[in-house]
Amino acid sequence: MSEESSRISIRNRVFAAIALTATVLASTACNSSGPGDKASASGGSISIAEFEPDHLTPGWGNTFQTDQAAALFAPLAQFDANNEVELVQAESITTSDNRVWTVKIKPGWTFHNGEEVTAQSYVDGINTAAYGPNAWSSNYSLAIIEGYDALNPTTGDPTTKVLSGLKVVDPQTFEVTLKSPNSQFLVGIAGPVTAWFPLPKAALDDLAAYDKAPIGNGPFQMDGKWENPTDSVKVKAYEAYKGTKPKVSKIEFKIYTSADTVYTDLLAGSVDLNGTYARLPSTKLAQVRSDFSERVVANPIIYTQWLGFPLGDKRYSDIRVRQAISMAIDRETITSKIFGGLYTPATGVLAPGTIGGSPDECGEYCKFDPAKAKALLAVAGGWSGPMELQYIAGQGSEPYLQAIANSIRQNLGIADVQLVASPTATEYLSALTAGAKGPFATGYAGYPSPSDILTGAFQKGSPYNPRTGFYSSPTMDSLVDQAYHATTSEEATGLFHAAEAQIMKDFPVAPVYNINQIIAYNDRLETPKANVLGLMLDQITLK
Amino acid sequence: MGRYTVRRLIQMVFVFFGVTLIIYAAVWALPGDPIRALSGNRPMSESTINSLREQFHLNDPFYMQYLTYIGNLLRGDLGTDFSGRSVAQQMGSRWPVTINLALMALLFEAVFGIALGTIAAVRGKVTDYVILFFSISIISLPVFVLAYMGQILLGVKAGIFPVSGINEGWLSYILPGFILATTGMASVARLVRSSVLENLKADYTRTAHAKGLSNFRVLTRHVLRNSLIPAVTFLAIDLGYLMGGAIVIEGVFNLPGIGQLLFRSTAAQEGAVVVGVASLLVLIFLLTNLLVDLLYGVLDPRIGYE
Repeated sequence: MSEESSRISIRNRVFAAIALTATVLASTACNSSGPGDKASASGGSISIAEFEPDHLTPGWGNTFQTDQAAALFAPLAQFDANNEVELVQAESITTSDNRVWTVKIKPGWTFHNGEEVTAQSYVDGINTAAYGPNAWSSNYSLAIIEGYDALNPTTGDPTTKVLSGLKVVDPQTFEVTLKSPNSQFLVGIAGPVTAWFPLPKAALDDLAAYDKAPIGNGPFQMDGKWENPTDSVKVKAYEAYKGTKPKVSKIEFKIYTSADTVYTDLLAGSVDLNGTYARLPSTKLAQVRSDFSERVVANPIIYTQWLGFPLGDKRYSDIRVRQAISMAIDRETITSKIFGGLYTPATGVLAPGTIGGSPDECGEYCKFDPAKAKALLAVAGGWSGPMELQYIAGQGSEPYLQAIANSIRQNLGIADVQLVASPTATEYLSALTAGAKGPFATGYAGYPSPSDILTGAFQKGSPYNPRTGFYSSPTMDSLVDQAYHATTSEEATGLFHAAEAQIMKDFPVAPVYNINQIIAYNDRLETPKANVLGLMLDQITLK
Repeated sequence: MGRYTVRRLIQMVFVFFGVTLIIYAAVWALPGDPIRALSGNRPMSESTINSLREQFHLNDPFYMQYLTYIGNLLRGDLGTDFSGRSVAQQMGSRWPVTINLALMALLFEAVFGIALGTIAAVRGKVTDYVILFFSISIISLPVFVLAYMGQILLGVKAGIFPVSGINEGWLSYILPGFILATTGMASVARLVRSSVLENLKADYTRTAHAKGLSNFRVLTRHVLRNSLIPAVTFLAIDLGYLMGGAIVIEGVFNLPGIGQLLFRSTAAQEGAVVVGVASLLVLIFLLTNLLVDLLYGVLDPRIGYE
């Protein structure tokens, strides 16, 4: 797919959903079969490498559950191979004001135990995720719904277990009332890592027991129980599934703890491909092409890596210092030499796969220009003393940070550039929260809507705010707010891009590169398909 | 001997509580908030954080947390990790893996170590030097180098052994077990060699020869038997090391043992898991040490404990 065409088509789809108040009918997802669809003829079983999930029920656990959840559960909507939003379990998702959304689900779909999937199943699932004491990881994403605060008081126990903003209209329809208009609602509920999944009656009595063998509404059902965290998760095709039938009949998700071992097993052919979040070790990226030749896919996802600055620190408060450091970084060489050409140089904070695309908002400040960088630093008053680059140890970021440190030494003439590692991610986060001592390596993996990274990292008080050096800008906040109220997707995209432009104007962070999902696969598979959120399990085919 | 054993066991109780306290304090002192790190890249609402902190008593002062933990422990409740999974169950599923690995390694250490040591001692200078050369080379190679080498050469390239995982039963443990055993194997060989050499010169050996016994019989029945005492004590102590020191091997070969659990849980500040696993490891060390001390008395009647 070309980048450009996918952008346009997403825009059209979102446009259709939010502006026309039209019923978005399920298009290609269910009944028709696309080219190359030989579902009935094929079968067989495959294995996928994964890191240990903490839960299998979608919305409950960490991101390592993504592929398993996608196998067991069908979402209301998802992204297709061209990153267009397509409806799956939903018949239509409509609104007239971006605030009250009516979700109609397809009739006749069943859970793996035969129970019918109804509007009530969805409301039960979403309420479970929204109930604070359940402590589901997706809880926060439901804060946009009315009544969320009653289930999540900052002190004391919640007074109710049901969101007042969710209403069952009839067995096939429910209505969602948001706190404020949100043009990004449909994009936000698409895919396998949301809180928008149904729960069967059997789940509600004992969630912990249910989680060992979730009864979902998806293309695969559990094949046995998942008793121990290190056990493989085995699933088999669900015969009565009404959506696109998967092309393999069984999947074994093998659990690994080391990315290096995943790599070795892929080389040996003892596992067929690596899952969405079973990332290959970054130290191996330079050799992936030679080890797997054609059997590698570099799939664009939403993941931007940047160099953050302690904005409150006097040494970095001059924007020209930050821009000089950014221009001293040779992004092309880093991505081609260290990451084997599998990652792409960043041109802004929005990743290329973002809906509406990623305009080149960083401009010349993301281009390698040692002469300009040096001149800019000189104008800003030069540099004296050491510079400490902070990062997390043991995650393979040393090589590229060494490269950045060398660039700064050579191109800016700062002799004493040191790498300072935090031993764990937890400690790193608290170090950044307390205030970094120098430029720090970090990034944001998120959702296809531009609102995700903008509100998640670049707004005051947002969860990722420490990782942007506590950047905030009232101008940007108001642009994002206007984008949420936008009635057409062109308008929304334009406003989001203006918000990004504002960020790049203030230059709180230096975008470095965009991470792609790197899939290495066994030669008994056809090239696996993936979208902006990861693997498309129902498209995996044996040769 | 009975009173000695009881006295040692009572000492162990104190050591155990001391050690759990130290480990608990160490985990507690790690910087950062484990709950906030729990959701990884995704944001978490204050109410979720609060309910988790309350559930795991993270708002209590340190000594209260420790007392709560010990209280539960004495009632047989090892608690759960932050995802709500039982620590006892996780350890239950992982201990067999580590024990299998350690026993496999112990077997290699014993068989190869004793055989190589004996051969080195009786087969003359050239053989002795060759074995010395190889055992020193192996001792000086870091174990993860051997592990990756073995995995790539014998697993990926030659396809003789499974590359990783435990899906193929005892076959899965052979390669990792052998690599884990290499260091100890070389030590056992050195111990046995010097001990055999010493015993070959002993009076009773000459007597045995004088009786007209064959060389082989003298070696196996008399010399080796007496030469094994240091090797046996070494092996017994090493068992504890093999269990606790398998973290690297378990990682490389993706064996879901306690080493991996310990490593991951320490990084995630999963206090309950770390203390549970580490304390059990300490117990095993203490017990194998006691066993070795008692074994001395059995193997060599001259040593007594009263």
